[in-house]
Amino acid sequence: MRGRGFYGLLGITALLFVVTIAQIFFRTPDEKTMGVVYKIVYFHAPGAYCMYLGATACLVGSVGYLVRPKDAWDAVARAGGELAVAFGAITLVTGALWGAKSWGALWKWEPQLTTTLLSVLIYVSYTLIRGFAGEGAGERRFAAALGVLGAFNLPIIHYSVKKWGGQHPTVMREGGGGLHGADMVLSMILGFTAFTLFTVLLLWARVRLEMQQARLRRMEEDAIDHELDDRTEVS
Amino acid sequence: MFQDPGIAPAPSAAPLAAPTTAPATSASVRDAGFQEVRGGEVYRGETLLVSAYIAIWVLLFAWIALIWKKQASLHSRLDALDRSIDRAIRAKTPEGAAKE
Repeated sequence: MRGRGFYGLLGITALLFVVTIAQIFFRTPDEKTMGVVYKIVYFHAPGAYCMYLGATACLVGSVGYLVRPKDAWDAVARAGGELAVAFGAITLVTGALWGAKSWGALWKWEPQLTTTLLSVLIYVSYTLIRGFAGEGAGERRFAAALGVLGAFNLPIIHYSVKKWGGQHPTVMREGGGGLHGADMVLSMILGFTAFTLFTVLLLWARVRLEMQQARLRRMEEDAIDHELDDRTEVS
Repeated sequence: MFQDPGIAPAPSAAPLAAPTTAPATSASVRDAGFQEVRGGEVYRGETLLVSAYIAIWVLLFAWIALIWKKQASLHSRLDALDRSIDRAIRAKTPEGAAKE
């Protein structure tokens, strides 16, 4: 039943991506001043939003693990942290390519870019800790604390333009607007929907894998305890 | 640049005599050397757009490859556990113990 749900969602997401890409490239016109480069925004903005989704999953999983140390919470936190890194990298790279046309430079040390980079680096360190620090309860708790602390930067990214100015566009912020065309609005809605479903799929697959790893680890420990395995501890 | 059509200059008169030397063609100028153009477009829109889309899919595929690697390690650990359990079962049965 669960497998059927996953494959159903996979099919819907794949179809939605086809429709979204066709809408962006064949129906939506170029922008007046930015030209064709403007179309990066249909994947850049949803990418940033998905980074927030991943980071939120990491926060929820981390808080859950700190309150009740269960494998499921830990799996959600770990999957969310990796998603935040993947979509954060997408946001930074596509944003740099947008900036190349808009600002004439791939990178500017302006508030929103700098805080986004900081957030991605926090989740990179979280992922590295999870990858190399081992699977002990102490290491997991330490990582969970970092997962909670990392989330504090998310609202700062969003409001940095308002608070400190900067050059990042504020289109679609606070009350919407900024997209002057029905096809532009439709492309953006499709982009956000496709990316959200894709993120749910990736999170689902990654959490499932993490749960399987945790289950196998317990089985290995049981096997060692009952002297079914020659090893003295799980590697 | 905006120009008022009402004060546009009158068209210049036709030249009285043909120029003494023929103007250099673009091909002959190109053959003679290359000249850089300052202030031209550094980043082409199409290149940037395609680069962005390539980057998105490369990053996502890299992450999927990472998940695949984790799955492969899970597989080898399962195999090791399976072998260990088989060995333990064989050792506990009289026939298996005799073979060991």
